[in-house]
Amino acid sequence: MIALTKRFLVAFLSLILFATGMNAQQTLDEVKKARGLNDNDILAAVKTFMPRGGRDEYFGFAGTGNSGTMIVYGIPSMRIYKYVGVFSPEPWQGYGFDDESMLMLKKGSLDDRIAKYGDMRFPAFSEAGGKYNGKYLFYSDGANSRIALLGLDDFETKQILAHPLFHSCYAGVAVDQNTDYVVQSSQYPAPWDLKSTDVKDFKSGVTFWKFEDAEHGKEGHHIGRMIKEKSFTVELPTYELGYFDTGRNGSDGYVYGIAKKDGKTFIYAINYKALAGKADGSKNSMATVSTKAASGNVAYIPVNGATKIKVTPDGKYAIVVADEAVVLDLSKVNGAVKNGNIDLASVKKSSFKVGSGVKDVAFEMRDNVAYFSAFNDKKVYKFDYASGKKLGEISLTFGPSELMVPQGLSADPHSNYLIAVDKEGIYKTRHSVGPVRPSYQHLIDISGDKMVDIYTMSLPQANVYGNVGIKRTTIKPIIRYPLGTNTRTGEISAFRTVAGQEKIERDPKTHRVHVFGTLIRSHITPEIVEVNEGDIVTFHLTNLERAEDETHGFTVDTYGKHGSFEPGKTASLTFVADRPGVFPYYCTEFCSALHLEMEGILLIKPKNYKGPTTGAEVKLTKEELAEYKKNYEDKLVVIKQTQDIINGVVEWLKKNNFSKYPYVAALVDDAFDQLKKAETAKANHEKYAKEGKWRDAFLWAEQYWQYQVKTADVGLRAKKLLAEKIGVDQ
Amino acid sequence: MKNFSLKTMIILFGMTLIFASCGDKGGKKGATTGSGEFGAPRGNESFADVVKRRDLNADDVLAAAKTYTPDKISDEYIALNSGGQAGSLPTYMVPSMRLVRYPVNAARQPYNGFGYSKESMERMKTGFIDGAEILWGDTHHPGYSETNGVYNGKWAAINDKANPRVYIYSLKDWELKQTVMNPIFRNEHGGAFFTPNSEYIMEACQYPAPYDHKYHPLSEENFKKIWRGGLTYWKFDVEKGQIDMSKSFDFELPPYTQDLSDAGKKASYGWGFTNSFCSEMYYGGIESGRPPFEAGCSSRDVDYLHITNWKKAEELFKAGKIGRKVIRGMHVITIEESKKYGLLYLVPEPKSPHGVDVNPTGEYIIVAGKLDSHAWVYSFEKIKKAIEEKNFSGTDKFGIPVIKLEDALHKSVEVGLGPLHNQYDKTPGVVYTSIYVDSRITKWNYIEGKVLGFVPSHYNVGHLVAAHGDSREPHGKYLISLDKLSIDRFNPVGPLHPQNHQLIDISGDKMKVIYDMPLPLGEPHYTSLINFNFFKDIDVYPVGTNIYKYTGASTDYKSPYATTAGGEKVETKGNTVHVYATINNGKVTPGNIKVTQGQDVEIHITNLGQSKLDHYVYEVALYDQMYRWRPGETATIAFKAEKAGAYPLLLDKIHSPEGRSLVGYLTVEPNAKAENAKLLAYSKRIQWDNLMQAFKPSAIELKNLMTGELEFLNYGCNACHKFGEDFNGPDLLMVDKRRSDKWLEEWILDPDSHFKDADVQALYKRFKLKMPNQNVSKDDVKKIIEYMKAKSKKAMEG
Repeated sequence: MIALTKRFLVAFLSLILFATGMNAQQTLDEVKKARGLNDNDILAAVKTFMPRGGRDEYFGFAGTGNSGTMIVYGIPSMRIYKYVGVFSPEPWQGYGFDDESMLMLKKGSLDDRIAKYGDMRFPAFSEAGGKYNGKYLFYSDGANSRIALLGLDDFETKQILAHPLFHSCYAGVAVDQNTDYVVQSSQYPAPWDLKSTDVKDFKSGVTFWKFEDAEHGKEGHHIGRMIKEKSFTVELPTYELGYFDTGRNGSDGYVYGIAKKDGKTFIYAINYKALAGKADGSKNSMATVSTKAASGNVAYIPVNGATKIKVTPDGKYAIVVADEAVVLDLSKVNGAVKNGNIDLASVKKSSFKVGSGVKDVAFEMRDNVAYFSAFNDKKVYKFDYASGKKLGEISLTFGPSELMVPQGLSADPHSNYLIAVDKEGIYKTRHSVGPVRPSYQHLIDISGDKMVDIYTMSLPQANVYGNVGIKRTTIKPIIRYPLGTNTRTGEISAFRTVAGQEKIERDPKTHRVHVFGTLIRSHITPEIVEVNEGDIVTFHLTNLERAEDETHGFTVDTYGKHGSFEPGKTASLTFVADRPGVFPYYCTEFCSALHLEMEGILLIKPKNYKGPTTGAEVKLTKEELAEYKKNYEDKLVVIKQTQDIINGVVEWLKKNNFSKYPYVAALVDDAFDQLKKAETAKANHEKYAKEGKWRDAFLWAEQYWQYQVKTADVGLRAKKLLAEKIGVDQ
Repeated sequence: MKNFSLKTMIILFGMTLIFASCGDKGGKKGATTGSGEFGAPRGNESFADVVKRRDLNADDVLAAAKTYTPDKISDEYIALNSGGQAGSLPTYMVPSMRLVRYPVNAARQPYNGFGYSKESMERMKTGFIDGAEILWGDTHHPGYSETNGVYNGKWAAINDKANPRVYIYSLKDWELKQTVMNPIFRNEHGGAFFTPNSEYIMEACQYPAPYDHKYHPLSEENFKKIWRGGLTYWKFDVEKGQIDMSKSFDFELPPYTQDLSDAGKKASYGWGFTNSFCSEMYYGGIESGRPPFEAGCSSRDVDYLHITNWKKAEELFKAGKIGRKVIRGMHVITIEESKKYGLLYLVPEPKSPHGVDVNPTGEYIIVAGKLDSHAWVYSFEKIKKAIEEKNFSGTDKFGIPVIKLEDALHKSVEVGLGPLHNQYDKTPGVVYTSIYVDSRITKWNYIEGKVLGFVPSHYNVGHLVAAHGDSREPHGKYLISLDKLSIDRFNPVGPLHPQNHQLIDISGDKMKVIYDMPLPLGEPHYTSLINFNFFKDIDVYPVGTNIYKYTGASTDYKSPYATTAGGEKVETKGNTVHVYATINNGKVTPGNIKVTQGQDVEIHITNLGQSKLDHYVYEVALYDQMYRWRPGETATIAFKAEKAGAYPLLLDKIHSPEGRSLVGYLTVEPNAKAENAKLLAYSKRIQWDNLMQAFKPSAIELKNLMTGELEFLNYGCNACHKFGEDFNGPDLLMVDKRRSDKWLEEWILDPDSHFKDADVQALYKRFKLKMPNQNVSKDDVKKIIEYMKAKSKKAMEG
């Protein structure tokens, strides 16, 4: 034991960081030659490569089609940071697997069910004053007619509401300039009652979901929600509805979208703020504004071949995307809405020929600059939309469809980057792995005079349509939750459990068992749970960690439930113990060197069980007891030695002013947290030693040492991080 | 610095660059803008401008050049990762580190359509342990099938820790072809590892449990007597890509919490190696004062490396001499049989080890112990000698022979604190070991016992993978460090961080980290890296293929529902409407579908398309029904037409900018009986929810609800009742004027109380639906009555 520990000590002390200089490897020329790269490739490489620890300038969020899962990535590195379950259950995060998320999904539905997927194409950010405020992200479900809100504090889905009327929603969403309303429309006409099959009952409509926001204490939680009771739906004739956008500044309060019927295409405009409170009906708890009540506030403009409409950053114009793009003067459009039908010529500012198969438009910071994708031409065009003058173009190897410029759907679009989606994704040189291929999108550098295609990004498990992009620092994510948080509501859970308060509550009459447990590296409390067959068992677990990144997972083998417990989170897993036997449970997230030992056993006793209920404990022999005593004494020596190491690390950290570096300070806090927890183990081993119970004394001493190891482990990492920060070799 | 060639750059950009040679300094924030406001146009930038703006050093530029893979050149390797709790398998290209796919596992995956068609559900159901619907997996260790110890590019296998299962994938289409449940384990870990000719797939148990899957009281005695670990050798048919359970066998092992495994090769061919932790056979019980598992499971200095002779076991098993005991369908080689025939040996190994990795020649086995600072190199020759000479130090408590450490050990080498896993280099004798606590990779020579170098990984490296690094012919070149945590490394995305996979160039003498990749979904444990030239995938299937049966090896993949152009039809058999449809050039035939509420509907669609672009999603809006058809695929969406009405049928062309279009409508004619069944099912779901926990929405939502409205919703009253109109039940507007509070209370608490009343009978006749008992509590019933009053009042005023 001592011999091993000495090696352990040496390793602690010989921890060396390598701040090496240049290595004697290949030169850049050699690499270029070997990989067939030219100077332009290298320029693209240095524009996109992210040096270690570097931060991307923007977050991109993708509309992922029928995957129903949000994808967030970085620009310009185009690395994907996270997938988050929105309309589809996702086991990694326990989404749709723990009770809290299941209830959120079920109670937002119309029939108390969790739909298995959704189709989300065009997301939208919450805004304040026409600018993204980085707090929420919204998605519309084109498959199962739902709307979703994600909190960008913890990147979790917070609200899913089923649309009470539409059988088919357009899979895009728009938000107005102060996030008063979140706009969602129907796509294909259908009856609104889940009953009729009569074509006469078919309707279309646009819904304005009222949004209310609030700050929640100092933790910065985003707890705003859409309020169904204050929302309303404007009924439209049976148009097939498409992409829409909200007005801004002078055009605030209006929504403009694509409507199709009988082979003709129109732009619809709704003065919805004038219609708030004008509901003349209610259906399925949704206030409705009939076409009659809406008249004077809804209008249609015929525009041939329109595929999309987007409002310019200043809110003065809208660009109707078509091979011949049309610029609408929104002050004229809004003025004419009262007429119902608007003649295009009366509201058109200008129009200009763009190209063939034009699919989308994107704006940037430079005044009047717009980019158009032309699928058939395999080109992106840059235009001055005020003059209709073409400013440039880029020929691509693919037919582009959706476009995105970071901040591009706000009053504050940025320059430099343009993302173009490639739906076909045919690359001769790119290997595939079977018929199911990823989606692709390209990063186009628009910073200079010429556009340059600098990166091809693949997005697996996504049928990518629209993206939105936001400046990285606008989003202010949290790194842990206040202890005991139900993350779906942002409030402290009724099942929050703190250390020492773990318990099992049983109601034999209802066969209901509640386990109130905690998670901390590296044990689950309680570790042994016994229930009866047929019991309805819930594990309510709280992750007690304060350290960033110390996520634990939990599952009971073969019972089909899984929860992800980020630091501070409380979640519950309920199942019927309908199969008797022995079921290990464990932490599913690699959390420390002793992660595999973070386990427990659920015993489920069969109904009418007649066998023995306890088994014999093994008695220790005299020799065994003596060996445990020796082990205990050895362990005390090891504990002393380990403490010396910890003290050494602490001294080094103090000397180098660790508290000035928040990440390092947080780690040091965590290290001391670990040591504090060791106190009970110490009291126990001393107590048992006094009583001569050497096995217990040894095991508790062992547990004390485990805490020391965790302390040292975290302390060493703090030291490493600090050494990096201050640039010293240790 | 001196080796950094700038010549071309100087000519091209006409300026000299000075790099700071600051090596691996972390925490760089990647400066973002040139002059002026953030997000303003940067204008034309030279190479030097970019390098300056982004604060890149020479190493960064070199790393960028080594990983940047424009469309004109190809990636070289593909990394198949376990997805951990996500189940699905993240795969990405090397060296560009771009994700390309997530082969499915046990969870539904809508993008692939997995779990949404009848055919894929049938595949999923083969993994429903004891019939329980288990819709996720905890995948840990992928392996590629081998011939003669080299990847043969045919199959991949992976294990599931939470739900002991092994999954087989074909590398032709990277789809799931088989799911096999281990009938005697409750939890497992040490799989799925192929033997050198893919004769078997090894799957070792993790947390021990009784083999009979029955309840036994937990006690120290029972734990030793009844709880068991194990190592299953699954017989694999490398041509068909199928496991045959009848030819598989399991080594009964002591309850030592077995961990990772590896199969011997060349010199050690025919043997298997499995390590363990908690050979203390300890179980915790912190809630009752017992020290926790973590204390008791790491209290001994050593655990046991298990050595199994599968080749000899196979012969004896085939001869009917062993493995005749069958538990829950699995042939078990008992500990007694192993002892009798010399099939199982133990050697001490460093405590709480993880990786056990056989070297390319099969002569050495390296074990890494997370609580030690040494990697232990065992010599197979020595082990063999000890076995042949029966030179044992004694036995464990089960009588299994234990070889003395000195008699098996070649070297023990100090590699760093917390060695975890090993991968081999192309150069003989060279191995890379991940060092968890020190967060670094150590390169060392295991024959000479010499450390050759280190490279710091970012944080808490778990496993690592080198190109073909666990095969007989490692490629060297690339190494990936699978870092478990990613503090202060990427753009922050909330409390749940991505993992960090660091690509390391190992082609030179010094290891260089050249890419930090966030791994955005799941928690990979282990990875296999295969060169693209080692497998051949397909783009399309023959028309009419059930892809879950397609292996390329046999011809029984044709779906019985395959439909040809012109052969489309609708047939009603019993209560089921079968629609035989085709997708031809983006058009679905037939378009409209008419059924009656309560009928079962099966839409069998054959995708006649045969180009890479012919991928379609067909869906029934608001019916939660869809599937993705690959080129040539036949699949079925099957559902009950539970709700009446008209629902758009849609087709999404995945690889076309046209997107989604209307195919027609599913019209479901109402049927009263089916409507009742729908409402009763709804009522059952509500009752179950209320057993889970009382639903409480967030504060802002709650603020907007009237008193009792939440209870009205939570008990599902809204399924049948509205205010101002009859629905599935009577209109509740002004119900308080028609019924007394007492009557309402009695009625809600116990619908049988007034069911026989004449007026209730009259309503029953009209609505044909009995009010269900929703188990409303006494407090809640008062709130619901209050809500009905207030809501009526508001409706009348409003």
